[in-house]
Amino acid sequence: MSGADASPGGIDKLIHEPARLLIMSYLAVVESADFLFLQGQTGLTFGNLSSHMSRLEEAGYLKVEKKFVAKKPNTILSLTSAGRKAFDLYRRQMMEMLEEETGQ
Amino acid sequence: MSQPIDLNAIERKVFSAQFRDGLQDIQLGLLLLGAWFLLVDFTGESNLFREAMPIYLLYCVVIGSIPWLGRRWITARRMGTMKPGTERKLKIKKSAVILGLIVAIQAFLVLLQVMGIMRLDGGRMLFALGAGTIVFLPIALIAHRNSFLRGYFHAAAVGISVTLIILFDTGAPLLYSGAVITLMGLIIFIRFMIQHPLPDNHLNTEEG
Repeated sequence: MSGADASPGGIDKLIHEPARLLIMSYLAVVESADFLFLQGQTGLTFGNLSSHMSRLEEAGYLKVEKKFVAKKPNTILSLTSAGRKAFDLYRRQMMEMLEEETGQ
Repeated sequence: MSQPIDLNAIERKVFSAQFRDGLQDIQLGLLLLGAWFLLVDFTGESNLFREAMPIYLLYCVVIGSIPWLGRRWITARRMGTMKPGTERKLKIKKSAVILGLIVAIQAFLVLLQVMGIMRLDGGRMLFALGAGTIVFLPIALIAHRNSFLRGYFHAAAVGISVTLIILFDTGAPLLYSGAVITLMGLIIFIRFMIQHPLPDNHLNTEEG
């Protein structure tokens, strides 16, 4: 299921990487998006998005669905329930950390 | 910063991204230009389109499909597609209900006016302002609910146009606002096409 790394602070290092965090954030607010849309929104290059997508898919955070639209391949991406849970947990942890920082 | 990732802002950006192709502007602009053809009739400038309402309704259906057809065949291939999340879907449903209520109230008020049951006292100015506001509200509501900033300009342009039409008994304001919004949409559309060429492999995928 999840192959995510956890840092000593419990923060999911897989999500913490900026490009992957961007991908997770964008996919968290939609039901699904295709590769081209996500590439345009995140500003990531083709190869960059593709490699991060594979990492997230391996971790079980991302569902990648490949189909054909008008005889052309179309890759649809969406977060799995494990991905949504991991992302919510990550946000909560980051929020708590920031609140602790500002409280000091 | 109390929230490290502002998901609401991201969601608004993602959802409003679908309006960056200018097709919505072109649609509204052409609808206004079509309405102007009708207004030419009842303002007495011409009788050319006296029986134009059925034609205009057909025209509305054709023009109303511009964003859908345009996205399906032209712009989605260049910017990709997304399905909105559950919160946005709920928001769309709520908007449809609110919009339906507003339109029903508007229709009811127009009916009362036409049947002579209700007469607005206060003269033409008040009537013009009221009509302008009634037209402005649903368009502004759509703009607000869709996080579509240009929609506020559309709402203002249409609201002011309706007010001026009633005040000065001329369809010209619709012609001007329709032309401006259509032109704006065309410029945005052309800029979009230049900025978003078809991907090299014409594929919407991570595989070449």
